[in-house]
Amino acid sequence: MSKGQTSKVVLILDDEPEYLGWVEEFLASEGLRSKVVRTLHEALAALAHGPYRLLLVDMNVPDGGAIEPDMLKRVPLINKYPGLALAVEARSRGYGSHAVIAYTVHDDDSADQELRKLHCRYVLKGRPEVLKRVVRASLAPPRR
Amino acid sequence: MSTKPTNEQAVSHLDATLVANFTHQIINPLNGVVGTIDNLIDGTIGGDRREQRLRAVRAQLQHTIELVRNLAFLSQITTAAGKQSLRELGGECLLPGVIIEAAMFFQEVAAERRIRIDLADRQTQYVLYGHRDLLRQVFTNLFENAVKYGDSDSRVHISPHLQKRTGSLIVEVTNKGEGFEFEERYSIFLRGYRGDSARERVASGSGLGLYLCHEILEAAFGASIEGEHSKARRETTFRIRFPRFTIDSREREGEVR
Repeated sequence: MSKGQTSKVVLILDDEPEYLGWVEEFLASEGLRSKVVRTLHEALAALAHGPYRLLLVDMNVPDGGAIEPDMLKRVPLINKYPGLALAVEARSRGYGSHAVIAYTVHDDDSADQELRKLHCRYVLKGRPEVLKRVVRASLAPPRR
Repeated sequence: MSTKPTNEQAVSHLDATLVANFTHQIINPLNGVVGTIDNLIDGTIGGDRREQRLRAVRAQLQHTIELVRNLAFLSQITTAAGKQSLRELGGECLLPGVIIEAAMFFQEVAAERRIRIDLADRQTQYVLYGHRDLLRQVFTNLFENAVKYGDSDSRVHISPHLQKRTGSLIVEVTNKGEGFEFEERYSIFLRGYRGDSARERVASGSGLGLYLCHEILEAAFGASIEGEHSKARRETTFRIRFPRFTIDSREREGEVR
């Protein structure tokens, strides 16, 4: 069983959470609570206090000084997208591929490729129906 | 023989970065708008919360429009003819009304972060000579920064007062937050500049807001702006100096126009 399956909390990493009220409302309608953090530093600290049912990750956030040289050596794209480090860390801590949903403002091939390696979902900001569909699919019980 | 520059050559690196950052800055509030509308359509938001959320959407759209307006001002301010046209717009505006109007755009986002925008003196009707929309854009940009980068549970305080020594009207906009380094006090008004503490708080920003404040004030009002930050008090103050103003005495006697 993937980590966080029974948790009712979703960790959201986004540096402009003022505009994410609608996501929190949607998650609440699915019976979930949101914990919102603004920087990678805060997100990694919050990850240690999990587990979370899902992680919604804005890739383009301030790192808050949390990027270690070995992280960059393994995944250089973290320099451009600090949020990617949260996805990497969550996967290494046992969160399933369905549990990590990353997003950016612009469609970016390099981000897409890196998230494919992690088997994480990648959506674009500004397409709420897609995000909702992906979240609902992630919450659905696995098919036997 | 001169050759026509390619598009790639014509668009400087700064402008390309600026446009990319600006796009990011605009998509975030629009994402909030479209997400809320989607929730209204599919019934995620129901009952008596619908009206409250519609009001929030309207405020977010108004806020976004004000951000986009910066691009229009940018196109004017970057040419001598454009600057001249701003100068020639003329007009006069009452300071308290303009400040209150600009603050309205941020009601929703400020409330979300529990930030209050306060005008110290709403009664004295300072009259400034220049176009109302231009002055509103100056305060819009200052409030945008204060709400975006300021501390939650704080206030943005606007204080107009007369400086006897110079006879100028001084308007101070003060807020609590990280602010900027002393060495950055001039560069924060440069086009495309973003300070370290701004980048540490929000990954993308256009670096246009303060630049336009400086340019608009100078071109259209003959005014100046300076910024200072006290680390000890976690307090940032932008101080605008208007050398040309009057006070509408009718307003002081309680008349409204």
